[in-house]
Order: sequence, then C-alpha cells, then structure tokens
Amino acid sequence: MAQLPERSQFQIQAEGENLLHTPEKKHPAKAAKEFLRSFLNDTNERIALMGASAFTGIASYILANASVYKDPTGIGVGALMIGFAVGAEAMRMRAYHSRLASQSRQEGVTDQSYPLSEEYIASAHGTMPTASYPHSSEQTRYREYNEGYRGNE
Amino acid sequence: MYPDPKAIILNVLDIIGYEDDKKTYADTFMQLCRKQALIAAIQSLPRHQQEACSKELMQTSDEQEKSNILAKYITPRQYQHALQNAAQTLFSEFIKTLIPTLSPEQLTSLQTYLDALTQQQPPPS
Repeated sequence: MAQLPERSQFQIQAEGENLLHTPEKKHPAKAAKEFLRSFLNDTNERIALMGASAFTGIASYILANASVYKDPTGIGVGALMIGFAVGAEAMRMRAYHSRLASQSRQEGVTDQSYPLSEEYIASAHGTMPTASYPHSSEQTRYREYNEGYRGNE
Repeated sequence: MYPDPKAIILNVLDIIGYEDDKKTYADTFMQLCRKQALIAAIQSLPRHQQEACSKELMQTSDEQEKSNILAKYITPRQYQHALQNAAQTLFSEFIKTLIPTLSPEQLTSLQTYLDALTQQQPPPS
C-alpha cells in the first residue's frame, strides 16, 4: 500500500483551524442583491461595448428602455414563463441534493460513512419500497436469524 | 392565459425571506431578462442589419417609431427565443447563487416550489 506523505504537526494544526474558521454563511437576501447587481453591471457593460462600436443607436435605446420590443401578442410573457420553468427544472435536483447533504450534516452523517448513492437518494425521496433497501434487507435477515436463534433456546 | 412571470420571482423572494422592496427587485429582474434578450437578438443579426437598424434608431426620438424599427429587424420568433434563453439562464443562476445560503427549511420550501413550477410549465408556443 502506498505510504501517505507525513504531515507535520503544524500542517495538522493549520487544517484544524481552517475547519474551525469556516467563513460565515451569507444571508440569502444579501446573496440575491449581489446577484442582481453583478448581472446588471455585466449587462450594462455589454451594452456600453455596443455603444462603443457602430451601434450607438441600439445601445442607447436598450439602456434607456428594456421593454423596447413591443409585445402586443404576449409572446414575451410566455417566453419568460417557459424560461423560468426550464431554469427551475434544471435547478430542482441541485436544491434536492443540497437539502439531502444538509440533512446528512445535521444528523452527523459524513459522506464517507454514508455515501449519497442513487439508491439512498431514491429511498429518502420515498420512491423506493422499503424491502429493496440494502440496509433493510440485511436488518431483516439479521432479525430473522436472531428470532430463529431465540426460538431454539 | 399565462400567469404573471413576476410572481415567480416574488415567490422565490418570499421563500428566502427577502425583506426589502420585492416588487422593485422583481421588476429589475424582468428588465434584466429583456435587456439580455435584446442584446442577444441584435447580436444574432448580420452585421449590415445591425448597422442599418442602429442608423435608423438614431434618426428618430419617437419611442413608438423606435419600437417599430426594432420590430422590423427582430422577428417575434427571434425575440421569443432570445427572451426564453435569457430568462432560463438568469433564473438558473439566481437559484444556483441562493442555494448555498439557505437554511434546511428554506431549501425544502424552495425545492417544493421548483417542483410545482416545473409541473406548471406552459406548452411551447
């Protein structure tokens, strides 16, 4: 077996301190504000770049009014709804996995001791019958064995 | 009839406990989507059309006329496609940014809401 490089006492201590000094979790409202500000800045920069080229008319128009494209048929509303729904579809599994990871942390389960396998995720979601849990079947066998053993006493 | 897309942003802001002016936030978010969509739609035009459109826009100060000029160059289909892409990207990034900051309860609420939103998806027009 390959030998792991030896770590100094100093390294171990530094790693421990890093764990203790995990940066404080940002408040969601603050994250939301920062998100919007950052995207607005990026967009305005892109528009400014357009203005620096031959498209001054278009750039100033977009900057002045985001709803320049008149939308009498309501296609804009439909497009926004579909866009948000597709974005939600892309993100819901991420939210789900984050929730499971958060639950595991709360229960003191580490990734090493209980990996988030597809089976585990499906079972936690209630989509898999109890009998098919690998742990459950082992427990059932163990219980049957014990009951049988006690029956012989 | 489609529901109001702004309501989606307002609902997410409710879930995360946003206490400032939610309506202003949602309006700005929508504006951002429209701006991004217009940039993308214009940039997808051939260069000579971009130049012609820009020239025409600079020759008038009337808002209605400007809008008509833009509609001449960008078809409803192009605009719809660009807006859908912009909304999808911005909403995904928005949620991705929020997830690591949420409490377990907020994460559960968000997941339930995203599940419901996915099921409500209107048919592509």
